Amino acid sequence: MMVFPRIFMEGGPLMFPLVLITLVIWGIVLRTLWHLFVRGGSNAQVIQSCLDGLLFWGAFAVIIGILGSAVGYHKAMAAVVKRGLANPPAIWIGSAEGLVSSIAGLLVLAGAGACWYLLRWQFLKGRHIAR
Amino acid sequence: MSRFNVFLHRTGERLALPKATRSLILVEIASDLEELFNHYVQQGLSEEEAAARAEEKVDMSDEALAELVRIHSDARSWTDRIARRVQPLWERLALALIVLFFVASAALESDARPFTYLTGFIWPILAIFLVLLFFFIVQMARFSDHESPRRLHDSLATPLFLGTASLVVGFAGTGIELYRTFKRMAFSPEHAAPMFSRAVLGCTATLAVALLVALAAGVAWFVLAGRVAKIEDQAAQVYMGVK
Repeated sequence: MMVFPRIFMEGGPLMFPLVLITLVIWGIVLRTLWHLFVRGGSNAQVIQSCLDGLLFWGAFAVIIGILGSAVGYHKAMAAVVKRGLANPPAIWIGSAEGLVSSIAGLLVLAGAGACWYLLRWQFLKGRHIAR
Repeated sequence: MSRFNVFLHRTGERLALPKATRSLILVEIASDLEELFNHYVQQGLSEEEAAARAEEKVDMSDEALAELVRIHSDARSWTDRIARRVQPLWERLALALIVLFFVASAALESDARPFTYLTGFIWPILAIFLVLLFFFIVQMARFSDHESPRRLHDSLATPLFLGTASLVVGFAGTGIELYRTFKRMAFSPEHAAPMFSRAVLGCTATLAVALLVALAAGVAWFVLAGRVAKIEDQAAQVYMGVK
């Protein structure tokens, strides 16, 4: 059970903006679901706006993930320059930060992309039925 | 208030479209009318004649309107749709928190050593950042000067271009720097390890700055796009408010 918090902490400080972006994406998904199913998909403009928002925040997450990667590898290499390969834990901390943050950024994009695809499909299906 | 309000109001009533798209089309037509009006005034016509001639000249037939609607609805680019999207308060708040996070991280970071490893590619990236900053300040000033909404809309591509340029320089710089390092390592294998680690240090530091500039460009675009959409809606409301 403690695996996820541990991996999260290994991702470094840039995991916090990624969590915030994930929450925003969840908010957009819930808003889209509300408009699609509770209000019957009548407000096409808001739904389209939500779908575009999913892609915007997904792209934002990836850039932050890659930034975390650059910062993490920088820390790992700084440890190598300082003490050679004599300090493997420091190298591991930097490398883990680099890997975890970029994977997290890509996972957020994948989630946002999947939600975008499914919700858009539902939206277009509703419009076809309405026509 | 535009001198073409009555004309624009009539045109707006013929556009059965979502508010955001209608605003965009009305702003487009208003801008064309103003340009024609100025052209006729420069040719020596009185203001009344110039306004009447401009209204005559702008083709508002059903076919022309249908074409405008098609251009602004189906063929709108992804960036344009994102720019026009409604930005709820909680999304703007989340973006502000992210910006605050980066500013606080930079302020609390007392260790300046990463900057000593930066490669030469940092200079074009810094130049891009300065251009972005200058552009953002100028745009914010233009908002208060009541600049033409169409011009403001057209300039929205600039922060996206600058952000992309920063990424391109960052990644290309990393590739070039690593290429040079590998070449040097091949000629002096005894120093290969320190050469490699220093090159990676430099590349990651430069790439991090390039990504930060790209994020700043994204935030600048998000803020400017929201303001432009608001101005376009306000302009369209003025056009539609006069019978």
